[in-house]
Amino acid sequence: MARPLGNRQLGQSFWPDLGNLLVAVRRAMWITLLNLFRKPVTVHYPEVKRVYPDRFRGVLALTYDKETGEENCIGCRLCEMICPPQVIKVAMLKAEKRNFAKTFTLELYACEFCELCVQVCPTDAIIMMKSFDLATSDRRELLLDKDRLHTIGLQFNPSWATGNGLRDMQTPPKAPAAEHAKPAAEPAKAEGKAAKVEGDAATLEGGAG
Amino acid sequence: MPPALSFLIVGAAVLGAIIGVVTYVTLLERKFAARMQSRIGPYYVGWPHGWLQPIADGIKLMMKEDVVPRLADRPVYNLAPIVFLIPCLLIFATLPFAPGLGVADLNIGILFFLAVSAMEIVGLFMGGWGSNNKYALLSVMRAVNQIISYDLPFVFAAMVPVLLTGSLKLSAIAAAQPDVLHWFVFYPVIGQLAFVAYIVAMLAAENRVPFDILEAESELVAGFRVEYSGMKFALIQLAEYAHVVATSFLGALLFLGAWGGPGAGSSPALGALYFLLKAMFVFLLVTWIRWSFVRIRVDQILAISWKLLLPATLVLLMATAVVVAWKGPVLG
Repeated sequence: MARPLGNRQLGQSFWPDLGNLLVAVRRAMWITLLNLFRKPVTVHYPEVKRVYPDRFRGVLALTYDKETGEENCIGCRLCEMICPPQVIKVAMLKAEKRNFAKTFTLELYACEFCELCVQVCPTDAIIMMKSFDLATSDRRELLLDKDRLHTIGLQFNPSWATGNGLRDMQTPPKAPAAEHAKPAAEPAKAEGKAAKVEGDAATLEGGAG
Repeated sequence: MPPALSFLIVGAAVLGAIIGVVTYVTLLERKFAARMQSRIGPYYVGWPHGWLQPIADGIKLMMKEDVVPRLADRPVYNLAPIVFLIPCLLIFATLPFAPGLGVADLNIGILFFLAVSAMEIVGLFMGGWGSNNKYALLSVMRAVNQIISYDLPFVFAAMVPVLLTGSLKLSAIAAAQPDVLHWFVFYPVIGQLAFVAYIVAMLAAENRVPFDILEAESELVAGFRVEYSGMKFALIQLAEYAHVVATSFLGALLFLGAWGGPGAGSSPALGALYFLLKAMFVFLLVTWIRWSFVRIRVDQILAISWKLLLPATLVLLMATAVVVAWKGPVLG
């Protein structure tokens, strides 16, 4: 008497097991047969490079101000504080108009590429680049100082994420026309942030008004 | 020319051809396996699709350091790859590759093939025992267990075409399958069952996945050849692939009509090509199974052999005998 083979569990007795085995054989061989006629997914890496995703978390770098050519880092040590593996060490240099980083070292060999330093940076000074070509024959080459971090910043394409960009993205949109008195004070408070937020707020206000 | 000299020349030519085919079979398997996993396989050594890869592998293995474990049983350890390789190459001797093209078309060709092919277990066990390594020893104990269990169904499945033709001579079995409709794989019911039994028993006798418990990577590292390196390792690999290729040739001869095909009657070279293509079909079938399955447990392997395959092939053999007694043998 043939028993139904709906129950796909092995270990009951010999004949049901055998029936299930044959069903499994058919399925497994069908899958590999389909794969045989599918296009291979291989990318010939060193010759053909895959397009990096926008939020790629690659090697870290320090940035310059595009207009003045000054470095962006103000030595605030926020990245040093938040770094989970504690690979960033910053020393602040006090100056008149703004502060600078006297030294900035990053031990890339222990970095876990969590992007937290990029997320907290108030001046978009530390960013991640679209590159994973980090292999080296000497471990000491992965101890990055300020100069090397600046060089890396000019060498590769920057990833999309910057501290201010992320904060702008994550700011919850204001409830339209909820309160009339507050919006006037709100943009003033967010002065330090990018102008985009204010612009958005203004259009929102305009629409509501 | 004295007959001894001509035998020597033919033997050397066949040996060279076999080693060449076996070397390139590794490339075929790697390419095929890669495509089954949506990869492309060896690509960079040799321009179209890495065709020089087997040669590069051979050179690499020749240049490797030959390490012998300090506590190994040296004579046994050093002899094992050769003892393993010889039966695997010797079984090609009785295979006729086309009418009249072969080293020795014995009257008991298939018996010789099966008997010598079962001898490989001696070399295998010598290798595992001589390495003085617990993984290797466990591996060969499993191997002996499994190969002895599966040699019986293998022989019974191979005996079905023998019964149908009434001859142990391989060229006679091939001659009994002149065209596609007379291939034994298309013989009603008996042929298909025997072919399936042959493939399953072949997988187990060759220790291929899903019956590869003796080289289960996750448990036994590399099985009985874990201590071998360099050229000795290459010899063992060569022997294993030679055995698989030889069994594929035998399967193509027994069930797929050997060298039969359009235009093969007049040209032996074309017949040999057909035979090679059919053997590669059997080989790719085995490879397809290899890359589709997970490993089966030891008790399941033995259960499949003793509880299912052995009684089934015995019944099949008896049924074949009844059919032959009723209708008479298929004659070429």
